[in-house]
Amino acid sequence: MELQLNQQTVTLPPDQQAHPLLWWLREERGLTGTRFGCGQGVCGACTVHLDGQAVRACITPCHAAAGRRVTTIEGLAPPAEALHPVQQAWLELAVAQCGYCQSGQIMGAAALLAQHPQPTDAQIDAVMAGHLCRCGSYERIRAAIHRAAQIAAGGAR
Amino acid sequence: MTPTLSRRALLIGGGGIAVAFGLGACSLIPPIPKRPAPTLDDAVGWIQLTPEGRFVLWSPRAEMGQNVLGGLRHIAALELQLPDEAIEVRVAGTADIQRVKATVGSDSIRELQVPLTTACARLRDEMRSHGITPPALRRLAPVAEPQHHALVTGAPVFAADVRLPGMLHATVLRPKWRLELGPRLLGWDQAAVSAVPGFVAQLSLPDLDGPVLVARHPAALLAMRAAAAPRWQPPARTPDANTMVDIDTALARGRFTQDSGEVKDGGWTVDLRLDVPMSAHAAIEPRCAVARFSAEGLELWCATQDPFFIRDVMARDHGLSLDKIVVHNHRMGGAFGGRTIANVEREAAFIAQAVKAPVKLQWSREDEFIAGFHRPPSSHRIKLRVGADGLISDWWHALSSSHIIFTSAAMPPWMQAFTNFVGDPGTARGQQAPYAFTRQRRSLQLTRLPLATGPWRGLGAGPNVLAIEAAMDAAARASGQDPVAFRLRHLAGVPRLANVLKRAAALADAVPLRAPAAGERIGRGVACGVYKEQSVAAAVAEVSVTADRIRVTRLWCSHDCGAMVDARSVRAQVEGNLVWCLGLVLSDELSAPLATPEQTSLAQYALPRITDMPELHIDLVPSTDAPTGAGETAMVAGAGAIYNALATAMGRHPARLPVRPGA
Repeated sequence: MELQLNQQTVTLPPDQQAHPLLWWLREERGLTGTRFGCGQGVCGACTVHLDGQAVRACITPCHAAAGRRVTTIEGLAPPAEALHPVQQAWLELAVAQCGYCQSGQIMGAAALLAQHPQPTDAQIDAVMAGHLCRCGSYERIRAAIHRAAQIAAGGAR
Repeated sequence: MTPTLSRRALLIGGGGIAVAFGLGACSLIPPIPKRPAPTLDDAVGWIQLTPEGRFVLWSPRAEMGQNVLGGLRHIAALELQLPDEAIEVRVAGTADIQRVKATVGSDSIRELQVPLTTACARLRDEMRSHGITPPALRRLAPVAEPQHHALVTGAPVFAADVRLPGMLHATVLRPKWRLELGPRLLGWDQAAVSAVPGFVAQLSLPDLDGPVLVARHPAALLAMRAAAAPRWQPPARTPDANTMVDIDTALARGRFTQDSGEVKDGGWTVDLRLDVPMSAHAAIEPRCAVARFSAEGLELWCATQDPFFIRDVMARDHGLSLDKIVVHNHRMGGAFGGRTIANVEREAAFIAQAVKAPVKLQWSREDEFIAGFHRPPSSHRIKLRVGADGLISDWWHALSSSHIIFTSAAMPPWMQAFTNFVGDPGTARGQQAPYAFTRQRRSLQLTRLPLATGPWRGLGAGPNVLAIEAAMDAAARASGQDPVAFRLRHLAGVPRLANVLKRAAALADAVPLRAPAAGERIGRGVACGVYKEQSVAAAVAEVSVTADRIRVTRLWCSHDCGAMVDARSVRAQVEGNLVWCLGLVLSDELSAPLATPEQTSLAQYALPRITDMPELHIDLVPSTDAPTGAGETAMVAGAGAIYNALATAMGRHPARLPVRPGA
């Protein structure tokens, strides 16, 4: 069973196909940017992209990724770029406080922007309401999503 | 190196503080957190110029999102006359610097600014005298806060990101109740556990709360936990922690753990009761630790507010001298007071020793609720009398709660009885009102609860000041006075607090009250407070109440924490505290009617979301006073303001939190 993991073809061992994608990514592939927060798909910290759609890796079995593209935070930036516009905006606005939820927030925001390049606040709410941040960085998250849209559209401030 | 070189030169030449400072070795230090004040000798070990010409700052405080790394880096950069990004700042473990006290109480900048600046000045002078000039530096754009690049790219930064060769994964099958209540393990399905692919071992260790399962990978642990189906006989007594602190029971008894001040008997203008339930930290990162024993001793990777305390606990647990233990500390994925004792670290080390392999112990979310400790519930009754002059003559704040500084998570019941002789300054934090009352009495009842309680953001100050501010508003209303003017009349001796109160009120007053829609009630409320007798904040909240929804629509907050090293991080702390205030008033609640948490997942425990965010208007007061703390200060303003706005909109004072629609 094969899948595309961050633009590379990898084989999924048969004995791990039923395991949650989260633990395979973290412990077998060393992609520890995908975080464990709740194990029930309710906090958003483990968000990755499956064929470009945001999914919760803690409740997605590995076999669901067979033949598909999995992108983690480590593979989010396009191959020729150092950082994705969302990552740039996150650095620029210093969104992170403790930062534990932020790779999930960034993956959620990147999937949102892929669908809505200039999202409204209501569109941001609809997607980002599924991402918890106990530090309360929500105001900067919203601002950074708007800023990322601006960067992606040409970068001017 | 010649013996005549100064210590500083030695540091520059040798390039490592572990060389310059021998670490103390004492085998029988009792595991009580030590709080040494930083000395200059300590501080010179924090900053170094490596032989490769890089500046490294070992942060003497742990990072949990307050950006202490960025703040300290900036202080060092100013003194060394370098751009911030020329200094690499790292989270220090026990092998990196001399013992420092825990990261608690929002005092890092206040305590460290002078010693760090002095140490950097010394380093600068030493470099000059050795003719060393800093290397030319390339400016990277954008200048990121420390570790933020790793955070946005997913590079390893947290304790759970540590992976060691041959590392095994473990979990503890713990009972739902604290062991001291007496639950008894009847058995678990050992055959089913050992049949799970990836199974390594199942063992019983005397120091842990239940059987230990060990596996090759975490996915196997999930299956083993499910297969184990442990059977526990519940404790004989399972009282409800939230009702054990009932203030009227304490008042009827008439005796308190601590009691100070006197008031005159007679009728009261206001007699207000407020109950605040137990609350979880609910940091998004569940605790994790990795332990490895070798011939050299014990290495532990964890994320703690006090790595030196963890080292002391390890020394006691394993009979090792301190020089045989290295604690590598990591950025915490939220702490909020919850990472002040040793729990997951102890478990990981005991298991690693038993299985003779490196072990990662990742707490589940359920572990967080069941084996973590919580903010104790508190039950308040404030009685006050307004005199003919419109000022409060008598004020009695009776408080019943549980232990915070003397956390019940880290001591047995018999020891708790001794701590009651000195009360609990954490539980009492903020109970002393900043207002000038003629007579003020404060009563505190402490009751050890069936669930472990301890430090939570702001300790007792959040609930205590909320109760005070609710009573102040009620007093203003009862005596027909404006709530801001009424407070100011009692704040003549506290000009700094009066100043933020006036500023917040003026900001809010400049914005007209929103017109209510059909079926909607709008209210505004104000509150202010002092945190740890140092920083001050005031807030105005605007709320919207309908039959099925309560929303905070706007929050204005004026905040004065003295001179700010890093105003952007201060703002982030104010925002974070205000979000915690939303939770404190509107959602935080851990119920435990049978002496075990009813909420054991984030699906059950509600936290504020992006959709709950009000418009925030934050006013950071410019100041040249010495810096004080910002990490918890706004807790004393936002919650009271929200509560008072709700009281205005609803036309009554809710007697218990959280306030829910229709309640």
